[in-house]
Amino acid sequence: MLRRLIAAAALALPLPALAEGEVVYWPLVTDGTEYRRIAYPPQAGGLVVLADTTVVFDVRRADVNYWPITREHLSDVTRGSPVVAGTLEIVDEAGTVTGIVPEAYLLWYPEGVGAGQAEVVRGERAAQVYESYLAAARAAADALRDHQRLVAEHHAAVEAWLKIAATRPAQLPPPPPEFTIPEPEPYNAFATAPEAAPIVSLRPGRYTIRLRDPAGGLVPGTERHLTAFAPLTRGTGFVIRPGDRWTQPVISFSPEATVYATGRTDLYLQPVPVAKYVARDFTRLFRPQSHDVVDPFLTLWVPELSGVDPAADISLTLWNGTEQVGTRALAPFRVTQTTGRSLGYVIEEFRPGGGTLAPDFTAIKLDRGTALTRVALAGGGQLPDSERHIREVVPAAGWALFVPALLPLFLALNVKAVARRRRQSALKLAGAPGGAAPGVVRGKQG
Amino acid sequence: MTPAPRHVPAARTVAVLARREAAAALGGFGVYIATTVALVAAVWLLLVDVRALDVAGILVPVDPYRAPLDVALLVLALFFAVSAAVSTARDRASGTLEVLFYGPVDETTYLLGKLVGLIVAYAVTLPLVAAGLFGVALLSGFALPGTLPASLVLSLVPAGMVVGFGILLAIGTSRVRSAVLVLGVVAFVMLGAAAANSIVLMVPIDHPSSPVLALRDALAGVNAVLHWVSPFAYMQRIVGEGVAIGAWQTAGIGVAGALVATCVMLALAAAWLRWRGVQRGGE
Repeated sequence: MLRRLIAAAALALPLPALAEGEVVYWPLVTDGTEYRRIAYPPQAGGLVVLADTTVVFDVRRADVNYWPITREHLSDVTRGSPVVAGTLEIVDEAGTVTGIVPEAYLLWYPEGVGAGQAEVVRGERAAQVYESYLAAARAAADALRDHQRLVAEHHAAVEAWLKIAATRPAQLPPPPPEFTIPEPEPYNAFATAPEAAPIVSLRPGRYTIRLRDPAGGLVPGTERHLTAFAPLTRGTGFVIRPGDRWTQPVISFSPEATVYATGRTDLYLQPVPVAKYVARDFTRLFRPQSHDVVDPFLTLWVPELSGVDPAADISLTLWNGTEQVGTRALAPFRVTQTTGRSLGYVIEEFRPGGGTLAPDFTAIKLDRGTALTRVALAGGGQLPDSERHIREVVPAAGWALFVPALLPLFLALNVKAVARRRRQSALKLAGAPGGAAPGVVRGKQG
Repeated sequence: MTPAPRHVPAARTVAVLARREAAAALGGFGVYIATTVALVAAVWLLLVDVRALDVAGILVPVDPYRAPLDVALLVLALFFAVSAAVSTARDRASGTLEVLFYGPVDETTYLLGKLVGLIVAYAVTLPLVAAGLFGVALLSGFALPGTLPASLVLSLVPAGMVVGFGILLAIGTSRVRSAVLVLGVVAFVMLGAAAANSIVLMVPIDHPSSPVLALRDALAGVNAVLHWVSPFAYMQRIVGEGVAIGAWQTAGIGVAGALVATCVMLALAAAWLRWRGVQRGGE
């Protein structure tokens, strides 16, 4: 009876209004390599973006829940979550307020998603790019479909001919001609559908961002700090492939690092532009609630996607001490499997022959046995800070390395032995005629 | 009429006590064995890179001596913490403390003398560490980092903090064995918490109700406190996370923090010693 009463009362009461959710900034940011949407619930603190890059700000209302496994506040930000309408305001350190009205944009991947650099296309060009993308994608799909139809027709013709041939007719018609129509080039490019949002590119510095509603009032909960950071410096890193393990390259992004080599194989150095960032800022860029890096003075080197043009006239100067011992040019290389029981491979300089073959990598080759202590790219204007120290070492056996570790013990034993000898000599002298009286306690004193 | 006792400057008393303490520390085999163990531990860690180079034929370490030097200095610091605790407890147990206080010695001069003496002994071991590492560098081919002298010199500050920590813990004990035991437990907790935190972070957690989650958060909290309290953490912050990677601001903040912490520990130790008295007594 009581249950029925409660149920009836519950039905009579109006349903509670759904919680509106919290204001979550959901910017589209880049680290110079790729674009990602990063959610900033209020608990995530200030926003972090890379300076001088295009940033798309999206402000939404979403439920926020704490996820203890990653110790992060996760926002239920989806395309369906309500957008907080208004004009984005950015206040710089001088107090200047800049209003950013939403504009059309799309994300354009000319080489495909996950390959090459993405670009934010904004304004009127966004619609043009999207239209041309749709046209090109449809044309590519049509061409592929036509090709598949021709392939299917050819297969059917061949099968029909084989059936005829199986009956051993007196007059066998000629077989269908060989199918030589090449498959159309795959179309990998991709563009997102155009949307509207405030878009900015900020100089390095600290800002305050907030959202002003159409009535002119500040939207509560939208005021946040924003940090735009830039590289501290730029330099040149190297991807180094040992000739006998070309698929297992090592990286040398920091110019302070020394390259150690045993000298048993050729080395292939592929220059890469790198940038040095404050580690905490760079880590927070894609993981704003990260607990990993707390030291604000740590820095890290990061490769930049704008790689070295393989056709660029770049050469490496080799030094042995203070003597320049030669230069090596950037060249394309191709890896060819060798036949026979050895199942090895050879790395050869790639010579374009007009076919479809492409080089496996582009690098500067350092021949095995070349005595050198450092290398640097010639004409360092394009690729600065490229000097690397190279040490060819033949490490001693593991046990031998422990010998210097025993030095303090040997020293102590020697010092003690010398001290004992001196003490014994002194006691002998003391025991001699005219010396100390008999009964002198000899040996170590307590 | 009895003559007035001759005034002895406190600095001179500190110097005499420090000389006695340093001579006692350097006169035994312990310090040399500890230095050898420290270097053996360093070589053992360096062998990881040596073997990696041997296998791959190429290696680009940012600083192959960072972890080895960290461990070597940690081992040395631990030894001097034990030395400080043993020496302080032995002074009380043997009655030396009481005798000293009949002379121109007070709590501050006694503690300063002990601290300075053990820091001097620590400083004497540093050239041995440098020479050992130089030998290892010659044999392995891995060049010593240019920051090695700065790392060794700046390690004096956290080493002083470690010694002060050992003295502070030993003030409360009357027996050598108790002092070593207390220091061992505290050092084990401090170093073990950091190690346990690293291990727990590697354990995959697939459900919010996992008991590992509570352990991980508890260890993270403990480590956050130890980061600012543990003298061993200061050693790592100044040498491994500061000087070794060129983060001089980090090292500077660490040095300042270690100096303040050492002063606080000495002040606490002096107050405790004054409250407890210098006479022999059971615990």
